[in-house]
Amino acid sequence: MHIPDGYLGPATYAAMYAVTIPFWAVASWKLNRTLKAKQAPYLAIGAAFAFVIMMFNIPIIGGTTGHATGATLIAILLGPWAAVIAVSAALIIQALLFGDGGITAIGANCFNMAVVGALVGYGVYRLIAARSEVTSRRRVAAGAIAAYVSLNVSALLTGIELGLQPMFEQSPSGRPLYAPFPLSVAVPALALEHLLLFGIVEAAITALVIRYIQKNDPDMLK
Amino acid sequence: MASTTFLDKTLLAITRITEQSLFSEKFANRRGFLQSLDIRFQLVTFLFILVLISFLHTPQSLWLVYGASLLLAVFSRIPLRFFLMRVWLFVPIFTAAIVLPAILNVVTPGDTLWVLVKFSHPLTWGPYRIPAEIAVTQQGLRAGVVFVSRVAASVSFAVLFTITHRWSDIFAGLRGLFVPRILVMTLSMTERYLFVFLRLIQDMYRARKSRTIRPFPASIERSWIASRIGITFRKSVEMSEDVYKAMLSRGFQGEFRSINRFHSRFVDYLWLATVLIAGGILLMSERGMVR
Repeated sequence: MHIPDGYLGPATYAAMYAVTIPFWAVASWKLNRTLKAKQAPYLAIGAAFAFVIMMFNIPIIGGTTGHATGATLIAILLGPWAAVIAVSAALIIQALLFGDGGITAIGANCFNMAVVGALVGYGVYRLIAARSEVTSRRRVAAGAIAAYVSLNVSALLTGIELGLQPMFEQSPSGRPLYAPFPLSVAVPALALEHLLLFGIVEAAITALVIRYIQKNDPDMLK
Repeated sequence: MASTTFLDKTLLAITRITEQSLFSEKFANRRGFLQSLDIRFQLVTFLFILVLISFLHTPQSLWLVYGASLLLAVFSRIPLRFFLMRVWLFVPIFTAAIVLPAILNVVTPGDTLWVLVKFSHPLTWGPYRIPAEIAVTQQGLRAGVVFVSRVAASVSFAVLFTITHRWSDIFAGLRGLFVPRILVMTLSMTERYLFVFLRLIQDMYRARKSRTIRPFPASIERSWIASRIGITFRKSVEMSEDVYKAMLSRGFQGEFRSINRFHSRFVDYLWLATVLIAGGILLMSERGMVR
């Protein structure tokens, strides 16, 4: 889901930076009030955790493996605004140092995976978990559904951003200049693989980690 | 029974990250052209080049920019074979593979170049329509070439930038460009703690692999992985408390001061002017404003 450089045209990536920056500003303002001087080490270690979650390969079927993005899990564990910054920092490091995702596409990738991933995931989790016991099964189900929904919303947005390119970013003769597939191809291509496979992996990992924390350190879920 | 592929894949992913870090350190220490420039000027010029690439429309212009990245790699003492492998594996090759259907009239209608398949009549399935002839179109081929060239040129410059600088210098450069210090401090600390966590995960996975005679069913393996993620999170919370206390004990009061001092030279300004002027001319000539 990491959009590389060259896939989005200037109008789109500039717009995505413009949309994402206010979320970063709100998140920084909120965290500055609550964490104060503690915020740099707290967020840095949260970001490192966000980065390494993607390292954990889990067996799916046969010899195949997959990994989670962890945005919802981090939002449940650290809070939604800390997750926005932590996942964004992990994505910026991936783009700047490892070439995973484009530098011009940082705004779009952070919006899709950090902002939407964390806020939608946390919102759905709170909605379903409501005031249930920290150790209840309902929390596990809430985490799984939230992770599944948020990953699929992120994938849908990525598909829409890519699918809009041939419509809005064309040469004077109408030829596509960036990602060439229209919405009718880009959206189903991204949505289907996340609906049928990656969403389930994300939900399973989130549910299993919540269950582990419920058993061993339930205070972390309060 | 699950296989132990997930253990190997995780260990391999960790090794790749460590390898990238080591290569970056190795090439950043060479006495090449890019390594000799002020990091702040480089950040500005590389960002300018990436934006410039996104504005170019013709394959010729994109190839010219891509050629410039190869020249810069040679002058920066980066082995060309290593550089080409690093750039083309994985993003541009993946892009070339996924762009193949887009060169056909099914996705990009236009003037037919080669007919690949003929049906007796067009096929329609919901909103999707497959014409009676599936053919490569001139417009599709050109769009595909421009797209792959743009991605290759962008990735080439992004890789060149990351392998010719120490990562700590990149963060210092961001600080020198008035990026908020709290953000730079967070990114810089993230990079450091990332390797602490990677070591932790590597140890857990190696220990597990060394004890594995026969793999467990996949459901048990998944629970084990979830427990490792949970442990990593618990350690990360403990570590953030310890790090904060260590910072406080060293006199940290919430303000970040940099020890990096930047020294710009004539060659840095010359590099900046060259990139801006050459980029401007290239863009204007492509748009027909300069002949």
